[in-house]
Amino acid sequence: MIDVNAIGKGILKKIQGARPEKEERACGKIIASGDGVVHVTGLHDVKYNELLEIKGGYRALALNLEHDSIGAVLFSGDDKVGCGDYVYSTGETVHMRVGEELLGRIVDPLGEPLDGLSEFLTTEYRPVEFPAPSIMDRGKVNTPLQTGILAIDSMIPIGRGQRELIIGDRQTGKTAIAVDTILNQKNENVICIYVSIGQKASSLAKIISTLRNAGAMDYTCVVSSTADDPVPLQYLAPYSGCALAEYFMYQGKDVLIVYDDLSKHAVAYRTMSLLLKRPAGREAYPGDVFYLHSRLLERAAKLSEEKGGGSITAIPIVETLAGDISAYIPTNVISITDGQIYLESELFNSGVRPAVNVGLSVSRVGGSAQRTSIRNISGQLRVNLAQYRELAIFMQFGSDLDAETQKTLSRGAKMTTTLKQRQYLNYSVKDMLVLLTVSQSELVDRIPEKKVESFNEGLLDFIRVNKQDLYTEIDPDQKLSADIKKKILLIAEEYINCSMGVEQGNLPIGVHAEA
Amino acid sequence: MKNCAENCLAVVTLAMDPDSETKDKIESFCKKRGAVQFEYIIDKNIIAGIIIQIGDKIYDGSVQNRLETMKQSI
Repeated sequence: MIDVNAIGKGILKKIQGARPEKEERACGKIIASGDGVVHVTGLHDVKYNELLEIKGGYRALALNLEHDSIGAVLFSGDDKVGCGDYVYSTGETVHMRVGEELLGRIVDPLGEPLDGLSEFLTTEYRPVEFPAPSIMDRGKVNTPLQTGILAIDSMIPIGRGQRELIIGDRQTGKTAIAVDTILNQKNENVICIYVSIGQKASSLAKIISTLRNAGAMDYTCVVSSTADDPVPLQYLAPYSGCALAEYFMYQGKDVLIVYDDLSKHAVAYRTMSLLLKRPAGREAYPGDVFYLHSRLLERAAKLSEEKGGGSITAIPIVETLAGDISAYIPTNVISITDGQIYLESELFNSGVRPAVNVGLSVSRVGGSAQRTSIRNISGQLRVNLAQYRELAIFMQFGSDLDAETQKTLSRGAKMTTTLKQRQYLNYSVKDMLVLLTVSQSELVDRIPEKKVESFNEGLLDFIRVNKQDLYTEIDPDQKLSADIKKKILLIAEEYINCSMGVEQGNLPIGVHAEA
Repeated sequence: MKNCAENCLAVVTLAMDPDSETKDKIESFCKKRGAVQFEYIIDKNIIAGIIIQIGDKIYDGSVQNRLETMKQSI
């Protein structure tokens, strides 16, 4: 039974609580409207990037401050607003709602909830445009951000406070890497923000359900602006996400923010600029498209201890067309970030997933963002893989090669297989140490190439079930001692013997097992 | 130039004709904010109260406005 009296009392309370509008407001009038852009006269004191309110509750962003009018882009109500409508200035530049409350929620770039759950109680806001930390406020990047992906954590390590770009063609696993990284932050005390710019609502729904099922939504906030949202909202989305990240960073916390993706962001900005009649440059992008991304990515930093030691790690994603990383937007973002993870469709299609091109990918922070043990053990990895790639062309000659070359080829192929990893399988640091030790030892010669993947998974399970005390002995912050390495190899040998039968397991070293 | 002219004109919207006392109060309020000329408009749509516009600034004390705000807050 609906209690009519209770509803009536509720409405009365709300009316009494409704703040009376400020008595004095600056007011202007719309003289032209169309394509999501309104031109307003009056409002002489409006600042750049100020939020304007139009009668009916619609909001607009003042972007073109001209001599006798203002060009503002609408966030909503494109078809409801018309000439002669009154426009009020709010006196504030555009801001984003921030607070712990937003974790676990899906919000739009203006801070309004999109997930149909309760309204927000927090009244704290941060400006969407904020200066990046100054040079003296920054600290050294020396803590790793573990992605849980072997290929990345060993050879292209990411540190907290770094900007690492994920770049590749469509459908090469860019978002998959970002999502895996977010899932791996479960016990790492890192707050994650996933900013979705211009994506399909269906893809975003899938990602959110993945995060929810893995329990990642407890420490993640999703800032979303799907492809059907008005272009100004898509333009604001990454800055709003960054404002939320800064709220946590200035409290001394570590934040991971993923911008998926900046190519669509540049396109949205281009759309807005062209409609505002700003001059077009290369590929019709406006002249400040570099500044668009540089001011966003500069806000991701590691603060010094005096400023709290917080950090924002930014993982922007850029989509290339036909693998062309020398196009306009990709080159812009590559020059801004501290390294890139380059994904190739060829590798992806031939089964190497994650499809990381180790040769072209780089992390400019490198070793200082790795745990000591991993750094020591991955030293030779890149070089060995490079040698393997060079020799791989000769594979077709098969048995006509000398034993040394055959060994390099076989080990390289098995190492590449070890670096393959399925989605949502996150390796812990100790798992990685075991895998890297075994795959760079002579034991790997005993395992046929086709069985390497199942061997790796089986070995880790074997240790987890039967040999847990091995993990308690490993200290990830120290170089692996020879003792521990021997222990790992012994356990691996034991596993080979029991999993592949004593006969095959006991082949003398140097003789390669038949597949 | 345009600014100056706009800022000197006060557009006052009322629901009904004001008596002389009210008119005096309105004019002194507007003179304090730099208005020199006055224009009175009678508009029944605001239900009651007063709207004064001086140049860029608008002082909206109409009942219609209050009702709109309440409607939006619910």
